[in-house]
Amino acid sequence: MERVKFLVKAPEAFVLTLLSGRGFWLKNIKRTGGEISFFAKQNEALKIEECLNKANVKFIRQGDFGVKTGAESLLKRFGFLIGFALGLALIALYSLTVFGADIHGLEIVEAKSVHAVLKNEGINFPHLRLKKDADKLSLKIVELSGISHASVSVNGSRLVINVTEELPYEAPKDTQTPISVIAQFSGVISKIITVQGTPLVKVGDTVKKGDILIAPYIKSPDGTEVPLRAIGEVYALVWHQKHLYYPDTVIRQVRTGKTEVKTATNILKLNYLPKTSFVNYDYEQHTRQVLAIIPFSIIKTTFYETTAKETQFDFNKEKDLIVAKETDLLISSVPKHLRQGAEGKTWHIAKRVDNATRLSIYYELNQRICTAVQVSAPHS
Amino acid sequence: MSFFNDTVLKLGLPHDNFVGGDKVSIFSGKGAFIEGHKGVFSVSEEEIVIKLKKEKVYISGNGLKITEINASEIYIIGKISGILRGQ
Repeated sequence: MERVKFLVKAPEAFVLTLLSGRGFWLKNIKRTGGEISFFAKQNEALKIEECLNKANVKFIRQGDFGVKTGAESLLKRFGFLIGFALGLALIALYSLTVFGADIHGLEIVEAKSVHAVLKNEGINFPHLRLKKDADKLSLKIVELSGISHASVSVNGSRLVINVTEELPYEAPKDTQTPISVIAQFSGVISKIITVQGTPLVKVGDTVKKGDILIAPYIKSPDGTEVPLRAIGEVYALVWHQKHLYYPDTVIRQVRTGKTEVKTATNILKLNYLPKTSFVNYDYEQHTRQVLAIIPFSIIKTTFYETTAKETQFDFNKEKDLIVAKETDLLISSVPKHLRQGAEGKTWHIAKRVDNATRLSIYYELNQRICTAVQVSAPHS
Repeated sequence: MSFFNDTVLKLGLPHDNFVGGDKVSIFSGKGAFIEGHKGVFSVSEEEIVIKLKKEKVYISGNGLKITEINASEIYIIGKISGILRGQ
């Protein structure tokens, strides 16, 4: 409903009686000092003005309100309309623009050859996207040697290229040349299964990395050695270990208390670190997204000046955390396929040495230790 | 049948005498609706006096305000503590 706001300087009772007596509708009546304000229907505004004038009442018609009036006044704001249209045009332009390419599925073929195809097709970023481009591009990428399929699509402002490579050529495997099974790790043999060949170790033997576990021959009844490929599985208790030293004093970068704040706008979500006058520093960055559609953000970077300072290191205070972290690192340093299904246990020893603490972490694992390796010359 | 006419019948009042008459309703002592007024006699935060056909209605309370008015209806809000009809 279109409404008009009036501000009247007269006693409230008089104004309300006068206007309601004439049948006018008054709403949102507010009293401020000696004045009252109210809203009236727009089609009654002229009659209200006439009525107030006749009664010699001072009033101000403050403005028109409502959807229609608002729309009309908005249409008169050319600057706003031009800005709004420009904004819409920019959003449309952004949504139709591709700012970079993400290539997935490449292992053998180099990414630069796909980029070269994009360049040859005249696609330099930022690039206005067209559906025809995507179809044509897939065909051109498939023409590259080593690629069997390519699909090109646009995801947001990125060109997404999914590539399937041709299977690499594999030479036929030699399964006949006699080779030994050797130890990949040092340990104590816990289990040995010989499928083919002559085992040179038994359960309980200590082996070093590189020792031959199963030799690539068998003895014939007449005592001659017949060369063949050694095949088998050998398991051993292996002790993975690491030794770390923690000095009692350490040099650490500590904040001096001086800070420097730099604020910058960022449009394309690029990593940006402004320059600082500090030589040694650490920093914190806070990003505030301004608009949801356009990737326009404000980055506030706070630099903290730091200086090197010798500080005491209390190993015992942080021991639990260090041991847990280093044990996890030690376990994860062992290839996953060796750990899967294998029994393992860990322990540590912390010992004081000169002005430092020596931490030794052990990981005992009953694991597969063998690998098949060709000896320099076939055994005869 | 309207709420007011229905109420008039339930009260056993002669129907013809009350058609077009004034009605005053109070809502939990926080708002009032007056129908059939003939103007506003005085307005203050403590008391609002409304003219009726033959009498006046004195609404007393705190923070009283007329929020809406038209030819026949008045809406009042505020803490209403008393209503008095008289000359």
